[in-house]
Amino acid sequence: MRVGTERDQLLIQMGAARARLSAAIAELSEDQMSRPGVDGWSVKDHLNHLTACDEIRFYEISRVSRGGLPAFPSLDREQDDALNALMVTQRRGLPIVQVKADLEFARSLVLDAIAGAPEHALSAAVYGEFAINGSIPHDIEHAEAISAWRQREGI
Amino acid sequence: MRVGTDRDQLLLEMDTARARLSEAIAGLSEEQTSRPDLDVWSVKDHLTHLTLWHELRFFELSRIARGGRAGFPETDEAGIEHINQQFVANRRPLPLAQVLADLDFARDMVRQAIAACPDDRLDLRHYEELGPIGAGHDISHADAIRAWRQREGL
Repeated sequence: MRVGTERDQLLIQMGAARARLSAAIAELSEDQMSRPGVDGWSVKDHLNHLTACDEIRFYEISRVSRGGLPAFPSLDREQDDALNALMVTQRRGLPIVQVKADLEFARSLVLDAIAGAPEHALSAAVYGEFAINGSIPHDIEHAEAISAWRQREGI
Repeated sequence: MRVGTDRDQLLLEMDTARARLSEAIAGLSEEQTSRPDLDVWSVKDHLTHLTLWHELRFFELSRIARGGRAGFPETDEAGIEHINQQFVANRRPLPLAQVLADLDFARDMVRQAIAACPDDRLDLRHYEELGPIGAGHDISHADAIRAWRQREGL
């Protein structure tokens, strides 16, 4: 059963997806989170990647809320690699406490942007690669990758 | 001559750069700003490029303001060039009005982050590849645009 407004639904689903991610990384040590194990990426890399996407998503929601077009209508493989080189590889040396703080900060701005977004900006159809609801499947996808890795590693 | 606090100085430099850039593009039409005449880039490309780096800068400032480390340590020139080309291409279809609005928004975010940053976290030693204001970057692009206008008689 759906409850509340479209905005409420979005926030509920985002919260649930983020909770899945938090559960997936629960009780991992700094060392465990730094091992390049999940598809060549460490857990920290996955979190930095999600942070970067929320940082971009914040600007996209702000842009669309002001009546603009998305700046990332699509992202091909080469652009995706460039983005990850800039925002994942570069952040690899950050300690986990900062990685988590950065993740929370970026998410708080996305939530603020959603809270202030006009109705037209709540529709995923007006976005490109970084849709307003894009973090829901994205968080779950990375949570599942981390959970599968933990199961394989027995941690 | 330096005036006021480090924060005042940074904001002053940022505003000066903003004025230089505004002056450099003043009176140009949508068509003129879309011509790929400045080393393959158009004026709009230069502006969206500056916007991207201010967007990233806001998060870098916020990271450092919270006591964190820079998220952009030294980057190789080839990597930066690749990123610039990729992300400018993505924003090429945007109309000039939005390009300007996006730049204003990104710079306002940086300004707010500087205003809220603890004094000791404004120390430039905390920053690496991406500095806190980008004034020099804005001015270098403003100068390139001015030189192009002079060549073109615009």
